[in-house]
Amino acid sequence: MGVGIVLLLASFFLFVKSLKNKAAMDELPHSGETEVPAAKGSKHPHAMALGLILILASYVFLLPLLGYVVSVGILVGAVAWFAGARRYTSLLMCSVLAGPLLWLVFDWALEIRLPVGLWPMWLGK
Amino acid sequence: MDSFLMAMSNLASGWIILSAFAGVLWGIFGGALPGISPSIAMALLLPFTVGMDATNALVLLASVYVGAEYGGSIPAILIRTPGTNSASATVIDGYEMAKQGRAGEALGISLMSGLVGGLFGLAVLVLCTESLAKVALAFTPAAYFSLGILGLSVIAGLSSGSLVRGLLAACIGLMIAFIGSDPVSGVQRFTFGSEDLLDGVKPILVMVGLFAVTEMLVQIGEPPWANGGNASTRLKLPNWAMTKRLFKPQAIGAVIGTVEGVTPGAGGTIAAFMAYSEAKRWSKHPEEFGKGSPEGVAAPESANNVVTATALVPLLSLGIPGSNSAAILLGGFLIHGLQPGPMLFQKAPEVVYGLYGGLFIANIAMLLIGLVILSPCMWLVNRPKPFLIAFILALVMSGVFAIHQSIFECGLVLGIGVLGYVLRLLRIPVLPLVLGLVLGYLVESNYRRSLLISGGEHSIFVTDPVSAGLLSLAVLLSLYTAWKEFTEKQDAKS
Repeated sequence: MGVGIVLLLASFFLFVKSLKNKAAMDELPHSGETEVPAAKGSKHPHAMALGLILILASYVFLLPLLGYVVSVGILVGAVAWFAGARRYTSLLMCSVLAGPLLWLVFDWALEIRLPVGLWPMWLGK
Repeated sequence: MDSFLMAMSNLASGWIILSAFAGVLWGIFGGALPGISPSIAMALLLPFTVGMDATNALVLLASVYVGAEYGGSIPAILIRTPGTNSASATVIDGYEMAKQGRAGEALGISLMSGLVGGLFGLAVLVLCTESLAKVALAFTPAAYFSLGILGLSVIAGLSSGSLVRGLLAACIGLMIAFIGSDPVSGVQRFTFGSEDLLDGVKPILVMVGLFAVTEMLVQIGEPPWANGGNASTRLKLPNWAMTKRLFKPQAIGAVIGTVEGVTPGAGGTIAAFMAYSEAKRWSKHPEEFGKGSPEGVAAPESANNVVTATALVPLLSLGIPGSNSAAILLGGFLIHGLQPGPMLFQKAPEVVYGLYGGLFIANIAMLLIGLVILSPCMWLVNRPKPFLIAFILALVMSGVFAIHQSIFECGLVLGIGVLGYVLRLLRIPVLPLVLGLVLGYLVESNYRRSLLISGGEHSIFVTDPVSAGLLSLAVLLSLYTAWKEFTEKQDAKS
């Protein structure tokens, strides 16, 4: 019981102290803000967030239709392009490789079955 | 001694060692990436632990935390961008040392201090937890209810500096916890007739959504991370003279990290900054601080690694997580049907001792991996941000699907991600929300059990002495936060 009381008292003391310390923290020099003045974020961060959510939602919609490998490839390519990547060779490579790579990890290493989509039906199997 | 032997025999199975190494490796990478906090790195792995053995899963998650605290200092020292919040204090002197061409030395100090801190924190964890759990074992359901309320109100008051916002978040969390079948009578609540919601909203989905998805939604609108940095830096471990000099700042960091880690709502960042300023005050060379003092790296880095272990004390002994990372570890417990708290030592002691042993291995792993990881880490930090975001999201979406092979849950996580984004716009902290969710069951079941015992009399919460004490402490702390907030506003006006 004694330990508990001591801990409670200590935590109360620290609670007070940490509140004081928050003010002190703000005074200490902060990093990162002055480092790269040229780099700016998007002018419309909320629009970017909305777009990203729409891409993710379409992935959820496509997953049962196109299967995992294709959907994830599209997801990676679309998100990277949307976030500003314009080197098309790397975009293509990442898109093509992402699906099989992640599929290997899940299906083979973690033994988790991923959706195959409607391919078997379309291919007439 | 029994527990020690038990931990040792657990280590004999190679899987724990593998989990610890894998966790640390993942943690260092995640910590080094400026957009990924330790809790996000843990949340990303959470879905993958579903199929694992409970002990291995928890060791994996705890090791991520250990690794991330070191990983955060790598970009802090090399490119002046802290990889984690708690590495912010390391930037001050670490980057100064790097500018003087002593980057390798600074990284070595950070690694050694992290190791010292981590092992010290582990010792505190092992010594404190069980005795605290024994105290909690004597708690009545009423006292347990009050403990949950106390934990929630402390976190609500501390995590944002605004009591109202914190409490608001805690209530949203409790509301989410109500979804699904009533644990006592089985009545459906807020399911809207949907079968997918019968089991309620799993905490793991909320954590992945709020931490990982929300962060990516924010990151996509933000500027790219600072690039550059010399990847060819060679890590240099401190020599004997330096080790002796670092003893004092490390000891200061260890003590501050211990108390800050045990306190709910404090966490690694506050510990690191406090350790920095205390180390400066007690140093023989305070004038060197801010100009590349090795002590200025050692103190915060040992402090934030102590927290990786001591933050688990309230979680393991009382079942109350005090930080984001501890909340995610609690998520790991829940996935495997374990409820941390005093009963854990009786129901699944092998998990607790396995976790202790795993944390020990994780600290050794941090040293070994830390010695060789520098170049791959900087390579990863220098990758273009769009691709990192894309792959992180692919991992999130795949991981969420993997939990129950449910497409509904994928959509749910997206919805929670949007919720997190809106909350961030409104400056409502998410930690009380997560806590409200994971403590919801504990609070509710003990509330109802108390009422069953008392025959529906609410007076049981004030007549039980422990419960009354905890409740009044919660009221006092809330009043203090409110008063503090009020006076600060008055000061700002005048």
